[in-house]
Parts: sequence; C-alpha cells; structure tokens
Amino acid sequence: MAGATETDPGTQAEAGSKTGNLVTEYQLAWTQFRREWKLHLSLIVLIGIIVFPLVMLLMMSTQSIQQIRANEFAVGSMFVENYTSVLYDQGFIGYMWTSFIMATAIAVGKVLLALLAAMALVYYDFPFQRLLLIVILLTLLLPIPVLIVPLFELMSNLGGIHPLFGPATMFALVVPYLASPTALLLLYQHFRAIPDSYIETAQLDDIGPMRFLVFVLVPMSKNMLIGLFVISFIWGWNQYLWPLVVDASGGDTVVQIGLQGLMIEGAGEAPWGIITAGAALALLPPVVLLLMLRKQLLTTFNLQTK
Amino acid sequence: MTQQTQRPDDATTVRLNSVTKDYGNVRAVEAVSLQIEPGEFLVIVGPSGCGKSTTLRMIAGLETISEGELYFDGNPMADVEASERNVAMVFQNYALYPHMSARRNITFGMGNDFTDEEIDQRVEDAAGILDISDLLDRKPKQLSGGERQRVALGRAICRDPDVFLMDEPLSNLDAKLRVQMRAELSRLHDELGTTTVYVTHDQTEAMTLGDRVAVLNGGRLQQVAPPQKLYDFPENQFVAKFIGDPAMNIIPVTVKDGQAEHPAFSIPLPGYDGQTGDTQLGIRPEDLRTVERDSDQPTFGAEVVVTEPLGDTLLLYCQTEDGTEFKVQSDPRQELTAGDPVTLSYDPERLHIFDSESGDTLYHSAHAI
Repeated sequence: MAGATETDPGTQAEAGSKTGNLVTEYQLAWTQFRREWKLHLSLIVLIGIIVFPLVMLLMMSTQSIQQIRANEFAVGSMFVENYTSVLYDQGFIGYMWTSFIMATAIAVGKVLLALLAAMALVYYDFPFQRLLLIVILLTLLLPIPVLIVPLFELMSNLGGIHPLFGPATMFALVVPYLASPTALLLLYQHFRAIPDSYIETAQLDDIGPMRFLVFVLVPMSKNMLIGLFVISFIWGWNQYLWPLVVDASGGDTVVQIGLQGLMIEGAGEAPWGIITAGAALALLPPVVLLLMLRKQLLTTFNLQTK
Repeated sequence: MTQQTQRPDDATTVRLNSVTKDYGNVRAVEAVSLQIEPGEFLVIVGPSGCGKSTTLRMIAGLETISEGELYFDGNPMADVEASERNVAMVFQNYALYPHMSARRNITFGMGNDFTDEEIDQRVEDAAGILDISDLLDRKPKQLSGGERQRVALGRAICRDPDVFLMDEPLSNLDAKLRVQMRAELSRLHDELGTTTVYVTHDQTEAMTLGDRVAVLNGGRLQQVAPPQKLYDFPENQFVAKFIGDPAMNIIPVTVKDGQAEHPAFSIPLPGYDGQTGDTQLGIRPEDLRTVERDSDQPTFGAEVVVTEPLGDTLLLYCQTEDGTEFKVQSDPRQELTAGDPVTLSYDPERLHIFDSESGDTLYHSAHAI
C-alpha cells in the first residue's frame, strides 16, 4: 500500500519526516483513498452489475415456488430438494455426462487438428500454402447454423444419426466442430513467433517431425494449447442448435437441451427453482475449468506473459 | 595465435567454390570462393545484409546453394542433409529449449549418434571445459546470458562436430561479458582445434578471434587475410574503411608527378606508379598526429571541429580550409577545443591510394619504403 504511493512527492516527504509511524500510515492510506476512490467505486458498480443476475440465479435455485413468488432476496430452504430433483428426476446427471463427453471430444479434437494443421502450414513447404490458409480462414464465414441442413444430410448418410444417443450420434455431434480456423490461426501465429533457430537446431540434430512436435513444439506451446482447450471446451459445452437437430428423440441429450426441457415441463407455472438449479449446474463445469486454467488462458490471448 | 591444437590432423577442410545464393531475383551471395584450412578459425565479417549469415547457413546445409560447390575434405556436400554433415551451430539467440534443463538441452538429439555412457561422459567433459557443471540442472530462464551462451557452446562441443559454425554468438551479451567470452572462445578453439567458421558484424570481434578474416560486402568476398594484413594492406576502400575503429579517413586527392595534391597539402608518394589524376587518399586517424608549427616533418594546417577525449587518446574531428573533414587520433591531455588551429603531420609509411571509381587499392606506401 505504501509502495503504491511512493511516487507521490508530497507523501514521500511526509514519510521521510518520520513524525510518528501511525500518523504517517494513516495519511498515506487517506491520500491513496482520495486519489483512487472513484476508480474503486466504478469497478465495484460494474462488477455488481455483472454478478447480480448470477447471484439471483443461485438464490432462486434454493427457493421454493412460494419464496420465488414473494420475490425474496435470500437463500431459500429448498436447496437439496431442487438440486436432487434436477439431477435425478429430470435426468441431469445423464445430460451432464453427455455434454461433458461431447465438449471434451470437441476440445481435444479441435486442438489436435489445429496443432497438426498449423505445424504443416508453418514448418513445411508445399504448393499453394498461402491459398490453403486463406481458404481455411474463409470457412470462418460458414458457421454451423448456416450449414445445418447439408450437415444433417451428410451425417445421416454417414450413419451418424441414430434415434437413440449412442456412439454413432456422439460422432455426429462432435465431428462438425473439429475443424476450427480460429484455433488454427492462433497456433499458426504462435508457431511463427518461435525463432527459426529452434527448428534449425533440431534439423541439424536429425530430430524427426514427430519428435520435434512432441518434445519441442508442444511443450513450448503448452499454455497456448491449454488455453485453446479451455475455450473450445466451454464453446462445445454451450452448443444448443446442432445437438437439437441431431438428437431426433429421446436418450440422454446434452445439458443445454435438457435445460430447455425444464421450461416446457408441465403446464401452468414454470418451476423456477428447478430451472435455475439446472442452469446453475450447467454453469458448473465451465466455471471450474476456467478457475483451474485461467493463467494459461490469459497467455493464450497475450493478456499476461509467463 | 598460438597453435596448440589437439587434433590438427583429423580436422576438416571446408572449401567453397564460387558459391552463389539467389532468393528469387535477389542475389544474396555472389560467387564466393574460400578455403577454410583444417583447424582454422575463420571469421566472416561484414555489414548487415552482406550475405555472411547466408554463407554460414549454406555451409550448415540450412540453405541450399543456388550455384557453385561446397566440399568438406574434398567430399561434395550438395546432396548431403544438414544432419549428415556433422556440423554444430551456435545461434545468436542460443536456441536453448526453454522447457528443458541445460543438460537435456545439451543431450537432446545426441541419442542418434552416441550411446548413453558416451553422452554422460561428453556432457561431463564439456561442462568441465566450460565451467558449467553446477548449472546443468537449471532451466535456461534461470541462467544469465553468459551462462546460456556456455550451455549453447556445450551443446555444440558435445556433438564432436567436424566444423563449428557460429552465427553472431556474442551479440546478445553486454559489452564486458562479450570481451570475456571472446577470450574464452579463443582458448576453447586452441584446446579443441576444430575447424570453425564464425560470423559477426563486429570488426573488433573479427580481428581478435580470427586466424584469418573474410570481409564480405553486398554478397561479394572483398578480401581474406590474417587480421594484421587486413588492417595494414586492405585490398580496397571498403575493407580499409570497415576494418579499424575509428574508420580510416578517405580524402579525395589528385595524383600528379608522384605527389598526392590537395588544396591543403601535398604528400609525396615514393615509388607510386599507378594511375594519375583523381584518386582517394586513405590514412588512418592514428597515423595522423598534432605537431609543433616549426616541426621539420612535412606538415599541413587544419582547424578542430569537435574533440572527443577517449582517455587513452584524444579524437579530433578536423577540417581543412577547403572543407575536407577527417579524424585525428591524437595524444590525450592537450588543451584543444573547437575552433583551434592545429598543425598535423602523418606517418609516410602508412598511406594508401584507392581508385576513385572501383575503390580498388592502387598503392600502399609501406610497400615502397
């Protein structure tokens, strides 16, 4: 705290005079407060705005219908009941497992594919390299919603759509997401920033491409790869439209569709306690992942070095 | 340099025969012919973009040769992969893998050619020579610049290469450490006796390290010679100006009747038989000195423009009446300031005449005396 104000010539003089440490420290804190209270206040307000709906959601997920109807702003009494109902009666355990498998498969596949493609584009010379990169980047203009009908047909023809969830349908869920120009571009730029002398050293030592990939490139890109994995996982976890199309009927669907199912379940008043509990559960895995791997994620976007 | 080479007999000869490198329409290296003798420390020096790194990389096999041939001990290298040439390269940025310990950096990739026991023994030996035995388990991040440099050298030494290739290995070090590592590289080369090709843009490094120095400019070889010869008998104006700090003064003169004529002075050129007319006189700042006005040596007058006291010498930027500027490395502790008139004398044995157009050397007065 004192360190932050050292640049202020006024306070430095005060600290230098040493007229009682307590007074000086109090003055330092006061100067700092006067200088920074506006900044802190605006940050607190902004964070409040962002966090408020989340707090509301978490509170509602513990309340009974009556409590929700009364607009109580407090932790309710139905925590265990709401969550057990969502997990077991509504089948969220199965949904979350499906979502988890799908998101993991998408993230792993995406990172692997982008890794190999970026390595090929950066470290190998072949004809029309530049054109190929441009074509790959152009696919950014064709997100899955645009392609839904032809994609469904393709997956159907490949035998990927099955009335019940199973290995075949998981295949149809995951495959369209695997090729990611964004992930490729991030890794492409990252590899190009690695000095050539690394690969040349490997070249002089006769280290083959696979050994270079596993022992040099992957460790040197560790944070970038982990960051990409986190983004891809969360992105995969949040998919709704394509799973809805693929999932013709029944089985353990993905969590986002399950959540939608809670809304239309039963006529009359929506069971908000159960719906919010489901939403809170759907949030859990991405949040846990983010908290665990936030450092690497920041390096991915160059927000933090080392 | 004292030759205490350990194995001068099995050291490798590297021969470049009219080697040329084109990048599209740009000719980076043009017809460079050069023989590097077994165990020799050859420095390639030149300004940035002169093709010195490209030449080194062609020797390494990291660049293909557009035209010409390269031989190691008489064997053509055109179809030999970089990894098969048995060369070791030290890069400017050291190229140490950041996630590996120093030891792993040194040994990574050695498994192809050596057994585990050999590798351990070699690492130990190299670490001993380089005084890095205690640092082997650290990551590059935990090492200082000089220590990283040693690890990179260790990596090269352990491979027992036929040829060491070094691409500006000292450029990332601070001035003091650079001088220290320079001496160590010299010692290391004396100890190992491996043929070494060293690229730098720094002429001091070139002069201090090289058994011979090859000066490159614009992709063309200008001169290859031992350092002192390069300094005393530059073959053209580029070499004359590039080697030596402060650089040689080049003053336009007219040669007539064995005299170099200039509005401010007339200098006799004994034994001169080159072309007459407009030429360039080359004279190093340390071969000019301030003298008393009534000196019996041939003298001429000039005015001081700027003074730079360097401690051991006083560098004077002078100007003659007609506006010709040149530098004089004079004795220190003289009371001289800008605007003062000075009387200058020169060393008659250290004059050079260059062709005005081609820049080729026409005359060294040292040869005539």
